[in-house]
Amino acid sequence: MNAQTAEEFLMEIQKKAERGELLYIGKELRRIDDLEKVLGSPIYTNDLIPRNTLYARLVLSRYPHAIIKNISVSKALNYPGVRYVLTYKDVPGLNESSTIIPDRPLFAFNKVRSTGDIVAAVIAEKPNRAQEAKELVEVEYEPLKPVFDPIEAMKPDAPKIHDDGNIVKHVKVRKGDIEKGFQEADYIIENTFRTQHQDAAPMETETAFAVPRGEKILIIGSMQTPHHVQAAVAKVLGWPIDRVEVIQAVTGGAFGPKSDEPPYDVASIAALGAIKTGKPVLMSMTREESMIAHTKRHPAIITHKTGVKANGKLTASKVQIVLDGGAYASLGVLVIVRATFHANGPYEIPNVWNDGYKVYTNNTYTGSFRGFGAPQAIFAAESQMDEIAKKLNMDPLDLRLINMLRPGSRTSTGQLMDESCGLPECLDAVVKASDYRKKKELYSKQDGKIRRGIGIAMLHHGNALGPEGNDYAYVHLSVEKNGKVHLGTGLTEFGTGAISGLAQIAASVLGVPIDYFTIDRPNTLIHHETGPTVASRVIAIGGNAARDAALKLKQKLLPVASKLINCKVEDVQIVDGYVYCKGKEHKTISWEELVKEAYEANIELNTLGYYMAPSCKWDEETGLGSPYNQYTFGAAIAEVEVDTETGLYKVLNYYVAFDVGRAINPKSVRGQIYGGTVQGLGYAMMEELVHKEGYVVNPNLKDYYIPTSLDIPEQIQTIIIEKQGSMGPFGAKIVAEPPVVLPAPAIRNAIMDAIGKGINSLPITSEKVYKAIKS
Amino acid sequence: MEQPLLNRSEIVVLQPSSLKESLKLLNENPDAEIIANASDLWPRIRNGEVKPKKLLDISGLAGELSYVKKDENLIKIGALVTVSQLEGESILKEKRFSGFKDVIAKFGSPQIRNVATIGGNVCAASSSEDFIPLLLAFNAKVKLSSVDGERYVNLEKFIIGKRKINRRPNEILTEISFEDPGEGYSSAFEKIGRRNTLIINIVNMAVVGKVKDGKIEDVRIAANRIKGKIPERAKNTEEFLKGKALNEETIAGAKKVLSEEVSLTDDFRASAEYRKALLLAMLERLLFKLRGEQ
Ligand SMILES: Cc1cc2nc3c(=O)[nH]c(=O)nc-3n(C[C@H](O)[C@H](O)[C@H](O)COP(=O)(O)OP(=O)(O)OC[C@H]3O[C@@H](n4cnc5c(N)ncnc54)[C@H](O)[C@@H]3O)c2cc1C
Repeated sequence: MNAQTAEEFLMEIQKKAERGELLYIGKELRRIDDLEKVLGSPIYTNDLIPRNTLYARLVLSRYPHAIIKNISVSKALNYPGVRYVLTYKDVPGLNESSTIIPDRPLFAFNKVRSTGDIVAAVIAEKPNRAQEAKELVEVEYEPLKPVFDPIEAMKPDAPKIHDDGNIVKHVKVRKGDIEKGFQEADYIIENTFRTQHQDAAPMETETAFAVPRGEKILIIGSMQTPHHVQAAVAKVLGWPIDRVEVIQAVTGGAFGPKSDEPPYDVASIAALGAIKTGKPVLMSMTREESMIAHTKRHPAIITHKTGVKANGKLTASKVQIVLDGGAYASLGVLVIVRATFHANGPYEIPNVWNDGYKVYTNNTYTGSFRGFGAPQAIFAAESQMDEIAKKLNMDPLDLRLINMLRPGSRTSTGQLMDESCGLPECLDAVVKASDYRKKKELYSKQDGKIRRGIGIAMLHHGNALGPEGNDYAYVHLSVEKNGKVHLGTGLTEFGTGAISGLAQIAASVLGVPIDYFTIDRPNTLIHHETGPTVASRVIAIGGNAARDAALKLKQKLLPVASKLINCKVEDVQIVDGYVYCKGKEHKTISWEELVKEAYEANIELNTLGYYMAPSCKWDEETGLGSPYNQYTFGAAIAEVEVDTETGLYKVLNYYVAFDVGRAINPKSVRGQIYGGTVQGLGYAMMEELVHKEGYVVNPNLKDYYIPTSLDIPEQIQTIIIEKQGSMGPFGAKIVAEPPVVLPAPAIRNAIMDAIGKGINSLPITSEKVYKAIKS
Repeated sequence: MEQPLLNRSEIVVLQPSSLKESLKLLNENPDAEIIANASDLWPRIRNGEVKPKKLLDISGLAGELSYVKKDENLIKIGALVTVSQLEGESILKEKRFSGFKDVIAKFGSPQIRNVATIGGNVCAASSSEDFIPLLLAFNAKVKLSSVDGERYVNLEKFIIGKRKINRRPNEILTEISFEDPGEGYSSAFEKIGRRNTLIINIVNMAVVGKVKDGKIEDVRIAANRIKGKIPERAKNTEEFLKGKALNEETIAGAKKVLSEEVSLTDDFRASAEYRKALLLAMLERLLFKLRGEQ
C-alpha cells in the first residue's frame, strides 16, 4: 500500500491551510444543532421524566459551622407522599463527593461547614411534597465559632474548618531577585483589590435523573464531565464503575460549576434514591438550592506591590492572592494555580514573587468557573497597571506598550514567547478601532456632570489544562453504509458550539460537508473516558483527536477510491462529498459510492482518534518553566459615560480583539467573545452573590442581577487575530474563557479615566462610583 | 415533567366569573387570599413567604374591571387594568400624565407588563411597587367593594405598612381614581436600580405639579421610601416648594428640606446614604422636568 503516511498527509493539509485552501476551516458554518436549539426541541433532562418518577429536594445546613448532634427523619417520612429520606446513613459506599481532595461528604455527618452543606434529601411523589417535608427533617446542631474572612482564616488561631489548617493550597512563583528589583525601581506602588462571589447562573440548574436497572443504574443529566460523574456515583454506591451508565443530556448552560462537584451531588442523590425506592428519581436543584449549594467564583483579596522605573519599565512585581475557597477544596486547588501564574498580567517583568492561597472559610464553597482564576488575577493586575500609569503621569497605553509580552519576551514563569504571541496585534487593533488616542485627549478636557472615560485591559491565557491535568482526548468517527458520519466523544456540548467545531475539523480532513455528520450523545458505556470538558479545550485538544480520527478514516478510504476510479492513491481528491482523480474531474463519483464500495470490500469505517498534548514542565517550588503549551492573547477597550452626581454609568462601546491562533469557525469564536463579554460585564457591573455571616442573602434571580439586553453596550466590536499556535489543530488556540476576563478591568480603568479615581473592588456599583467621586 | 403550579399542596382555588359572585365568595371565605394575575403573589407563595389555604382568583373579572375612563373630572382605572393596557390608553397620553409613561417604561419586562395589574400593584403595598408613588402624587383614592357596599379610601390611608393595607377581609379593591389636575400640570417619574430593566428599585420618585411663569404653583412629591419602608409623600418638601420660583436656589433649599425629611435604611442593594443622594438628585431632575426640561 503506497498511501501517504499520516504525517505526510498532515503536512499537505497544513500547507493547504497556510494557503487558505482548507475546505471548511475559517468558514462561518451553521452549528449542527442550531435549528433544534431555536425551535426549543432538544430533550433536556426534565423533558424525559415519566409519570412514576419521584422527586428529590435537599435539606441544607441551617448553620455555617456546627456539630451535628442528631438527625431524625421520622416526621418527614410520615408526611403524605414521602417515600424516603436520604442521609449519610444510606450511603453504601464512600460518603464522599469531591474532585481532587477528598474533603467533602455527599451528606454531612459529624459536622456542617457551610450553609450549602447537604444534610439530607427528601424523596417524594411530588416536588411540593418533598419541599414541604424538608421542614420536618429534624437536625440538632451545636453551633461552632465560624470564620468568614479568608485573611482571618489563615491565622494560626482561626477556627479550624477541617482537621488540618485552613490553607488548602499555596502556589508560588519566584523569578529573579525581588529585593533587587524593588531597589532598581524609582517608584513602588502598592494596592489591594477585592472581588466577589459570582454565580454562573446557567439557565438549567444542576439536574440528574436516575433509573434503576436491576444490577445497574442509568443516570441522565446536565453536566460537563460524564465520566467523572460516573466514577463519583460508583464510589458513593460502592459499585464497580461499569454498573453505572451516565448519559449527558442536552445541557442548558454550564460555565464551570457543572465540571466541579455539584453534578456529583445530584447524580449520587438521584441514584441512591432510585436504588432505595426502586423508582426513577429526579434530582433537579431549585434555583435557590443551586445558588446556595453549588460552586461559585472565588472572591479574592489581591495585593500588588510593583516596582517601576521613571521611564515606565517594570522592575519587580510582588503579588499575593487569597481566594475565599468556602468550606471545601473542589477544583479550586487548580483555580489558584492559574490565578497565581497569571497574576502579573501579560507583561515581561524580570523579578517576580507571587504567593497564591486557596483558603477554607465557612462561606459556601467556590470552584471552577469560566476563566478559572484569571478574572480575579487580571482584574487586579490590569487595575494596578493604570494605578502605576497614574503615578508616572503616563498614558496607560504607553505603559503597556513598554512592558507587554511580545515574541522573544518571557512570562512571569520564565516561559519564552514565540512568534505566536499576538498580543501586540491585539492591542494595536483595539487602539485603532476605538480611536483611543483621540478620545483619550478629548476626554481629558471635559467638565460638567456627565463625563466620559476610556480604559484598556489585556491578557494572556495559558491554553487548555497545562498544570491542571493530563491534556488528552478521544474522538470516535464511524461511517454508515449511506455515507453518514457519526462523531462520538466523551467531550460535551453545553452551548459553546465546540462539538460542531470537531465535526467541522473532521469534515475538512475527510472532504465531506458537515451535513453528513451527526453527533452522538456522550455516554460512558459507549465513549472513552476522555478527560473533562473544561479549560476551553475542546477545539485545541479534542480538535486534534478529531483530525486524527478523520485522517485514519481517510487512509482507509483512499486505497478504495484509488481502485474504484483507477487513480494513484496520492492523486485521489475528496472535495465537498465528491471523489475524483487529480486532473480528471470528469470521472467524479460521490462520497456515498465510495463508502458503499468500502463496505463491499469489507473495510471497517470506524476509527478512534487520540491526542495527548506535550507535557508541560515547571518547577513546583518556583513556578518557573513552561506551564502551558501555548497562549491566547487578548486586548479590550471600554468607553464609559459617568453621571458624576449619582455615580450611574453606562458602557458606551466595547472593542475587543483576541488572538485565537486559527478561527475554526469565526462565527462561533465571535459568539464566545460576545457571550463572555456580557458575562464579564455582569461580573464588572452588578453580579454579586452576597454572603452575610455565611448565609446567602440573594439566592434567586430577582435579587442576583445578571445583565439584560438593556445593560450591554450598543457596540461590542470583535476583532479576530490569527497567530497560529503550536498545539491546536491548524494553529487554533482556545477562546471560550478569556473573553469573560477583560470587561472588569477595562471598565474599571475607563471609569478611572472619567472620574480620576480607581475603584478597586468588584462589582463596580454606581454606589461605589458615587462614593469614589465624593471621597 | 410535572411542574407543580404551586409549591403548597392543598390550596383551594375559587374562580368566580363576576364581581357579584366574587364578593359573595369572599364574604363566605374571608380567609381567602385574593389573586389577580399573580405576578407578585406567585413568587411569594413559591418561596413559602405566603402560605394560603384558599385563593380567590379574580382574573376572570377582567371584563368588568379593565376600564380606564374619565367621568366628570375623575380619571378612573379598573383594578384589573394591566400595565400593557395602560400603555395604550389615550387619556393618559396627555402631557400631564407623562409620569405614567415613565413608570411603564421602567416596569419589569414585556411579559410582566402583560400581566401586572394596577390593583395588584397597589395592594402589594411595598416599596418595590412603582405605581404607588405616582398614584400618591396624583392624590389617588381606592374604591373597595364588598357585599355590604362600597367605600373610598385615600391611597395614603390605604397603605398602612409594608405589605399592610387597610382592607377588610370581605373587600376587593375594584377601582383607583384621581382628579384630573387639568391643563398646565405635568407629572414625571424616575426609578433607579442596579440594572436598567427587570429590577427592583433602589429608589424611585414621582412628582406632579404646575409651574407657571417660572413659579411653582402646586407640587406633590412621593417616593418609595421617605420615613418608613413604604411609599410616602414628602410633604415638608412640597410645602417648602409651593409658591417659590423654580430656580437653582429653590432647588438647593428643597434638597435640604428633603434630606431632613427622609430617614432611610441600608440593605444589600444600596446604603441609606446612597439612597438619599439619589433621591436628592432625582428631586432636581424631576422638578426641572415639570418645567418641560430634560
Ligand atoms: C419579574 C418581575 C418584575 C417585576 N417588575 C416590577 C416593576 O418593575 N415595578 C413594579 O412596580 N412591580 C414589578 N413587579 C411586581 C408585580 O408585577 C406588580 O406588583 C404587579 O402590579 C402585581 O399585579 P398582579 O395582578 O400580578 O398582582 P397579584 O400578584 O395577583 O397580587 C398582588 C397582591 O395584591 C393583592 N391583590 C391583587 N389584586 C387585588 C384586588 N383587586 N383587591 C385586593 N387585593 C388584591 C393580592 O392578594 C396580592 O397580595 C415585578 C414582578 C416580577 C415577577
